[in-house]
Amino acid sequence: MEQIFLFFLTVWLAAAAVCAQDYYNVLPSKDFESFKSSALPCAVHFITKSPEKLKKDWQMKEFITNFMDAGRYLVDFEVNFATIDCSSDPVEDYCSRDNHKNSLFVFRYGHILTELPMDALYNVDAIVSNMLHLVLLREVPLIQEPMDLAAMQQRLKGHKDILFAKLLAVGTSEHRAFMEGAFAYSHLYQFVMTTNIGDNMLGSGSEEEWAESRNRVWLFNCKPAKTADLCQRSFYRGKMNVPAFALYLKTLDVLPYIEYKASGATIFYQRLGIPTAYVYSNTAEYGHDKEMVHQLAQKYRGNLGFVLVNSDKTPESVVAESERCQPPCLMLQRAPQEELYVMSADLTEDNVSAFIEDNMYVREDPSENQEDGDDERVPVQEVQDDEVQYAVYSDTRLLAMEHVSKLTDKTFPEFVASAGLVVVLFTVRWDPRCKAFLESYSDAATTIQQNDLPADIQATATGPFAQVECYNWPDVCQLNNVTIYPTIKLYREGKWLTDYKGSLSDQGILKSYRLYSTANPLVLETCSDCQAFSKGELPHWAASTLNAVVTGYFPDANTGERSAYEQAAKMLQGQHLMAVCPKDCAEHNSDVDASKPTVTAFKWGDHHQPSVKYSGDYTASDLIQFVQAATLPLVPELTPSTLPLHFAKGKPFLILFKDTDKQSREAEASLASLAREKTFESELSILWIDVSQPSCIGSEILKDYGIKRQPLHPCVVFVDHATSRVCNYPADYSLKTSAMTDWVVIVLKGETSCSGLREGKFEPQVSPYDYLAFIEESKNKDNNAPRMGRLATDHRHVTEAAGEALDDEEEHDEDGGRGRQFVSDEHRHTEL
Amino acid sequence: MTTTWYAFLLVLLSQLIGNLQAGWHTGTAPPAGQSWQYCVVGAGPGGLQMGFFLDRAGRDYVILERANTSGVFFETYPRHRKLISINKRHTGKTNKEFNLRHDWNSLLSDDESLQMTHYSKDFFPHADTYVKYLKDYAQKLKLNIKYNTNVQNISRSSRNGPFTFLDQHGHSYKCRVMILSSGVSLPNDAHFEGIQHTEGYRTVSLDPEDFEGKSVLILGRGNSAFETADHILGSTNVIHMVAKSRLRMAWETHYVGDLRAVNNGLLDTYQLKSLDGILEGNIEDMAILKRPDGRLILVDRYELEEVLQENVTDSMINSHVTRNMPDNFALREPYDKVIRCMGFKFDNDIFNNDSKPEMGQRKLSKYPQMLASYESTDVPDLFFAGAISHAVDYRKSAGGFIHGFRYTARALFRILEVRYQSVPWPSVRLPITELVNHIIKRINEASGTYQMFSVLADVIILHGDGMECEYIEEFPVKLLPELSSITGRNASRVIVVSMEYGKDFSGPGKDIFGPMRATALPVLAHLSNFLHPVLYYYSALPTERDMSALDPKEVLPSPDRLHHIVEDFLTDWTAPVSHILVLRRFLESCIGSDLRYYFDASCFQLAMTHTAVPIQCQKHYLQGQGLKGTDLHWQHVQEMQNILGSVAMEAASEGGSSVWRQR
Repeated sequence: MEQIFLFFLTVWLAAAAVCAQDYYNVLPSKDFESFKSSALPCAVHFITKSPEKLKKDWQMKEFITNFMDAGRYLVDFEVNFATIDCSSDPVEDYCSRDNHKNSLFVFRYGHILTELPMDALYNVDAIVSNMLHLVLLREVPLIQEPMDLAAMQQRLKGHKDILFAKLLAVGTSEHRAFMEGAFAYSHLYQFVMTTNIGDNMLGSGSEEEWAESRNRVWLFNCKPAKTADLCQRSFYRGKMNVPAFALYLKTLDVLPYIEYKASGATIFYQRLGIPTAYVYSNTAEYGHDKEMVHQLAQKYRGNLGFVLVNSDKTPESVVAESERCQPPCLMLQRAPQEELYVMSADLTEDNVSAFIEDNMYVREDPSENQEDGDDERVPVQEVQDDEVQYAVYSDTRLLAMEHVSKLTDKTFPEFVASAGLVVVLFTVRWDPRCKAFLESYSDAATTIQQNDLPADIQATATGPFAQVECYNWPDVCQLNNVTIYPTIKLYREGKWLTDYKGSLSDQGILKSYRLYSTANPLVLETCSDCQAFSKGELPHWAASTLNAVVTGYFPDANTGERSAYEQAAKMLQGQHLMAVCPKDCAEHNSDVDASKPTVTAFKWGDHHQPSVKYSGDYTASDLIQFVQAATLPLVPELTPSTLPLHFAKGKPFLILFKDTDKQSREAEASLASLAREKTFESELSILWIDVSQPSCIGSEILKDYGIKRQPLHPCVVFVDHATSRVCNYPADYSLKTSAMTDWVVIVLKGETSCSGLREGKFEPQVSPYDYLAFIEESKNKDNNAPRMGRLATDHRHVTEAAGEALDDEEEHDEDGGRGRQFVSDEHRHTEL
Repeated sequence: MTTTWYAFLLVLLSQLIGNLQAGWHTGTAPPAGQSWQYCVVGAGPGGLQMGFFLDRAGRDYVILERANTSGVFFETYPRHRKLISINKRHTGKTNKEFNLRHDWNSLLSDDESLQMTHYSKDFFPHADTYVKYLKDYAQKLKLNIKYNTNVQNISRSSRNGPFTFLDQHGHSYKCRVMILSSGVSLPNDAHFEGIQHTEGYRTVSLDPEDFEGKSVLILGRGNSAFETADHILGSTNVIHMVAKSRLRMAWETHYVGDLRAVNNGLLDTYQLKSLDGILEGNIEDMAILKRPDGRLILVDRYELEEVLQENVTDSMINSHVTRNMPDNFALREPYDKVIRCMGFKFDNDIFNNDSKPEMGQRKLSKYPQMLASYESTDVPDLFFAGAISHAVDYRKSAGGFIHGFRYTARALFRILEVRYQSVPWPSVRLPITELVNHIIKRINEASGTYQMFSVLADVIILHGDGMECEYIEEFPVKLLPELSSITGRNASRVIVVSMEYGKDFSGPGKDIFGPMRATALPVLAHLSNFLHPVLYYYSALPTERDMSALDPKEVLPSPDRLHHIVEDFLTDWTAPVSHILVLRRFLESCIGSDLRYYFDASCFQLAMTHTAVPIQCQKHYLQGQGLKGTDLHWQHVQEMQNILGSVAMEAASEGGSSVWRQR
């Protein structure tokens, strides 16, 4: 028996090993160039792990299998897949990339079209749907706004019908069915989809229809519509899988109803396997019934074929081997040879419609969020409403964290004492913020390892990033005074340097590490270094890490100016990068007075104001103020990562919601000059938010303000948190600086009517389980009734339960039961 | 090479001198009237533990020990030399605090080498190893111990004045505060006729040969009785055991002082083959008589008295009495040996009458009377530590055992620090945003509240605006009304985090293996039976009256809000929904605000559209310490929004606004 088991085990292991090395369409590296120049998108998987390592990587093994299945399937769609085995026959450019491991590369015309993250390609459906969507990138737009759909209908009236899908997510089997349909039928219909399931895109009054189902495809019958009409709308009622959806598309292409004329004629619905409704009418009602069928056929287009039979002319059943119902009546059949459902109520549109709904379709209950018919509903107390916790818990990937050392009580002191700057992340494993940050931290560690460390160290050293899990090593965390999780500490040469106070992002921690590991100010030796420094080319990471740097020229090395500058730089270490340039550089620069010290901020991203020269006194505190202000863009973008900085200033915001149109650019220029003139410097922060994408946060915020923006128009909004005012710059005002200035003056005086911000009161959303009430409740119940999770105890045990009760009983025996114990009439075996 | 050699010599020399000095001290008279602020009496585990805390705080203290070494009790006891406290060397975890939950022998210290797990590989270590351990503990930590000092005649001239006492040589000492940790050293013997025919646990032979073919009666039913029985089980004819109360298995009462599953071979032979046996009966109601052939018989005391009154001659007693017993009396056969294994009690002879503490009543009669602060009820400044401090939690928790009193000693030390040194109870100040994490950490690793369940608990003091709190560890729950004065920290709104068993779960004869013994549903958490965290929220501290009116089964008076965290098979309370989410909802209701985490994009949108943002956005995001998250995270967030949307719809369709009610 055991041997048999062992045998199977070996066979299975052997099979697994074979599978792991069996890649789809392994491409010799020399053929790579020609392969990727295909006109249709093609996907290449670079396998960088050795076969031995792959054996252990079940996620990758699963992907390889899925990739193979999807590749074979997509051959019919002329989409080609290939695998490059980096370990045996590498393509240098790609095999050495650092993100090759987690992406599938898609090429077209020899260029990278996109890189699909591996974690989005979790099964064959995901691979097929994503690839087909890339093939049909132009044919099947992904829209997020109701107005986009309305515009499309407007455009296609009289030309093409629209098939519009609302999909919960991309990469699902539903998405795949839709894309395969689009591949085959996009010449006949305009396919379009959205994943913004929160917004009803059908127009007002259709909320219920929108929310009924999580995935649904609508047909907008725009081809026959006139300019002034609305496109008639119906929807697909079947299951969203490939064969069923294909049948729907096939059905759309045929007549929605037929009148049965000659006895013995074949009904093509039957031949095509289309669900059919047979309406047996009679001569008297024929006209009325025909009108009804016409209406119903529109409603059920593509879902159901209608056959109208005049039973006075055709007395027999039109379905072979079946009894006809007693006309006027209706018979339904899902597929040939299947059971017929008979309705004999009056043939009215409502009756027939209700009968079809009841017998043909199972209504999906959108409130059932779990597919499995789990009857027990989760109590609202146990429905996760913490987005970070939910996201982290849903993310089941295993993080490799290759370049992050996991420290223990023994290795921590050694690690911290190692040469140079090191970073230690203190976590507790259950905290969702810690977990959510791990990937970014690991990415930052990898970036440092690969880009910042000397090549000889890269391979050997463990790198400067480490983690201490405080649940495993509470002693280490206590010694380091960690009481908040996550905490990130920087150490240099065994000594604590600082706590990281920035955001939990890879950019943030990278910036901090790089700035702390660089001297501030950086003393540059040559003028060309200085040039490169001011452009963000030196250090090599500057452009990718920072937005601005500051340089200083000092004609004399030992002046108070220079020491103030150095002092400021020291205090700004970790936040800003500053340099001292050789004094002779100033001489090459015509607009610099070489005899005076010059401090300049360079901002490579700011086209309004690429540099700012310092003109104040040379004290450390003034310089710090200058650096903090001057390194910001003249009109900074307001994003999730920049808001805290601007918010802290406590000034009202004047925000341009900027699109890509000409007017937006005009408004931006006006605001830039407002900012440059410093008219409102002490009263306002002038900022902009991007609204070029319909579903971006900026648009959401505008929506929340109740401001309706014309597409391709900017908005200028004054937002003051202190007084809770939101004032919209009137759309008919000029976007010139002068007009804006006038308006701002009025707004600041409070002389315009404005709307307000919503009240920020964040109370608990769900009340907790009330155990006091539960206990009270269970006390009121019959005490002897057994309850779930509680022992069914008999009365005797209840009285004996507490030590007190027991002892009292004993003492009672002692006092009143003299002699009874030894000589008892009913002497039990347990008692003397 | 040479330097190390010299160093070695030097050490040797200094030790020699040290020894000599010690010799001189014991030999010659010390300066009269030595005095300290704190005197700890007894260098057993309790005294050493107290000494450690006093020493590290730099206090003026001494430990006075009658014997010439530490832990001398363990040189004799347990007689059969097997400790029954577990020595769990592996738990699969590296968390040192957590591992103390399953290391019952080590004392607390700052020296990691001082762990019993390093001393013995046995799950139940040999007592000699423990003696060595205690010696090392005293030496390595350099505790100030005066050996060969038998404290006598403790007395006090005024009620609040210093204590004075003498040693066996008549030297006098003076102390401001006395901490008695002399253990329970006197045998707790019953009084009955014929006691002279029996022998005590203290002197019983350890050689099984002496019991070869003998019938043995053991008086008592504790761990020492079973330890003795187990040792001789293979040699005897039969062993009978008699004690007052029914047998209580530690695993059914959850009290480690009851019979542990270590030495109970006798239960097998009793229940399987009716060979050996146990019976209930009060030993004081019987008498042991010696027959002329030297064998011992058991008779009823009252009957014996009657017989004696009838002037039956001595030689006839035996036959007369037994004839009057029922003919199937269970213990009718004579025994060769009767052994008393009836436990120990506190010795209060070292006190003079002016400072002698009152002894406890009834079941606590073996202990001096004490308050929940371990202070004597009638002698101020006299405290108890170690085994005697068990009076506070007798038969409730583990305060009578090393793994319990190492924590109550710490609690006592902290009480002393506040009272005599004005050093407040240690605490950690936390932003309210860290509260969930901190509680989860404590309930998953804390050993003090786990061992001293229902006695020591963590207390969270909520401060003014609810944005900050103060976390206090291992506070004696019974002192909650006096929280502010005991800890030296202002408190009114508090949350108590305690560990508790189910109320009706523990007890002799309970069906603790029944199919309904455990639940996994958070909604039934209040019916959890196994040790699980319970949180009490008080908007104002309970009063002393609330405390004294408490049902003995209850740990604390009825709070304003109560939360049970559902029992867990792995004692790992980190499940995102079943443990953390429902806990968060409880804390939110206590604090009155949303404690959820948000990604930056959410905080951004909220900040741009609201006058204020949720606490987590305020404390993290707006301070520039937000959480960016990845695209994948964001996808999941949308997924959650959809689910919440459908839940809200569902609730609305049922008119379920009550479940969504806003507080």
